[in-house]
Amino acid sequence: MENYIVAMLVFAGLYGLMALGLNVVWGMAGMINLGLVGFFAFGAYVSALLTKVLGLPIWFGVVAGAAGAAAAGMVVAMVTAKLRGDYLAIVTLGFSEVIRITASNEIWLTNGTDGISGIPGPLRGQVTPEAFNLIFLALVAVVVAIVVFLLQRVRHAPYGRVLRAIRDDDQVAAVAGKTVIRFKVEAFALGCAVIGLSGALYGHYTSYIAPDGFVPLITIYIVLALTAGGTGNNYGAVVGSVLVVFFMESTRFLTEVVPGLQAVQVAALREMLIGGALIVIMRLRPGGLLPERLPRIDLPESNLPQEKKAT
Amino acid sequence: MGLLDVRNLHRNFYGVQALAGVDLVVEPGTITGLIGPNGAGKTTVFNCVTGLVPPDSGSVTFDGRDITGWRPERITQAGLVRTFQIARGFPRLSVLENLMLYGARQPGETLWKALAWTRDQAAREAEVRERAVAVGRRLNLGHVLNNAASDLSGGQKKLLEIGRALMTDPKLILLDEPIAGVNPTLANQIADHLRSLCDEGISFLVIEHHMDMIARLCDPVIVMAEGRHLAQGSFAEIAADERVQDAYMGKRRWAS
Repeated sequence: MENYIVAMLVFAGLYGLMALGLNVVWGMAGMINLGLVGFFAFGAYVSALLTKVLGLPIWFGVVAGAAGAAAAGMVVAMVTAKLRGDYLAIVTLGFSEVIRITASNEIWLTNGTDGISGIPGPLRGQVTPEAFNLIFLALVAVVVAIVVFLLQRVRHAPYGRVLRAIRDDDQVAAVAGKTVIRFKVEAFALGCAVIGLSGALYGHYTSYIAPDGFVPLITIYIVLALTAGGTGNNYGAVVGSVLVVFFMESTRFLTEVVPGLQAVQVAALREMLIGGALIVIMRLRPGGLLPERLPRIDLPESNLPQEKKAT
Repeated sequence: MGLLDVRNLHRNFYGVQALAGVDLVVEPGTITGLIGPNGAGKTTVFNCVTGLVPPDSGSVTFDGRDITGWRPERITQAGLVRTFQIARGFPRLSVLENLMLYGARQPGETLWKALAWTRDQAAREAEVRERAVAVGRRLNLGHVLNNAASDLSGGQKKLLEIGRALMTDPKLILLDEPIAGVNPTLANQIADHLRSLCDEGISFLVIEHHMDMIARLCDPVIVMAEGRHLAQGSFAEIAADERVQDAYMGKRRWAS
């Protein structure tokens, strides 16, 4: 049971990283990205292949996975530069499917639908599986903390201000003197780097990746996590991810105690509970559990009398 | 040669000729009015001059440089900035952030500097903030600086538009209907602000439909009609011009 809880916390952390990446792209810069899982898969495959096939160190694979996903994100952002709204949603969704189907068919590289097994993990085999679980949980927690710290900096820097301005009106942002396309491409790449990082860690944790682990449903979960936690808020992204994993897993036990249901009905009941809980959250807190807040700046009062005179 | 020199500007939208060879000049140190009936092409001139809509042909020269076809951000950086007719902008940013966004040369807009939180970013950010607070207070927005821009009244939004433009240290501001829908008291305040800013060396080109405001504020006044420059002069001259009356009221076909 403890192992199960630790594993779920690791997944909550990995979901949290993806939600943080989405928060840069969608929450701050306002670009829709329904291809999250594609960048997640990209990071996972890059790191798995580098470490397993070429025998490179795990840290190198993880960094390369994040960088690879960033590069892929940059390409997608430049290709879709002129698109917005629904069109961007469809192209990014298509991108993630292209990644998944490519991974299923390029057997020489990815071993096709059989997937890649035996991906090395830090200290795996040298310690007990329980200890490995805990070490990985600590690792994920540290990574999440560092990413939150860095993204909070971006959010509070002039950079984040420009991204939020582009989210509201990119034409006026250009009139404000900002090179909108540069910010869009960079933000997309930054968000995808974080998502790729999550994917790379995922592979090293589970030791096995396959195309059917990268279905669009995961993208939907992450969008739900960010929306429930608070779009635009980095802490909200993490809280929302923990919440989504908690809902998905706890309903597993809840439905066990309901008597007289068949397995299929139990599964349906879970989905209903998850959906219902999210509706309740969004009804009570439309901005998410931790809504985005405007930065407040304490202003010196010294000039106020002057202003009164003017009015 | 003026501060802004527009020559023979053309722009069609799917067969509708919005601009049919506009010429206009804004001399430095003036508040130049730009009037004309609806559909005359005034806003299209603004869009073409500021790079939001590329002109089909013609040239735009600003401060001695040919800026035709430049991207909007480059034109703003060169010292020519515009405001929008329907107060557009950034409703989910605070008023102060709206102002600070327009600050030029911000190192913190470079991604790695934002991540590393460099010293030059922090220093420049403090400068920009100080300037934004000063601009906000000058425009009587001092008490709402921390509010979301979406919470401002219509008149305050117009003031914020002017404030944002000021933050770029412009030489010329193009104002698209700065007092449309604003109560007369606030309209007079806005006019006073514009006049004192002009005295400090900023020139203006103003689209406006309130003729009393044009009469009080603008000299010279340029009249556009059907995508062309129609007349130019002091307000009194313009008001007496029969071509202008025709453009606004229609021709007197059955005049007795």
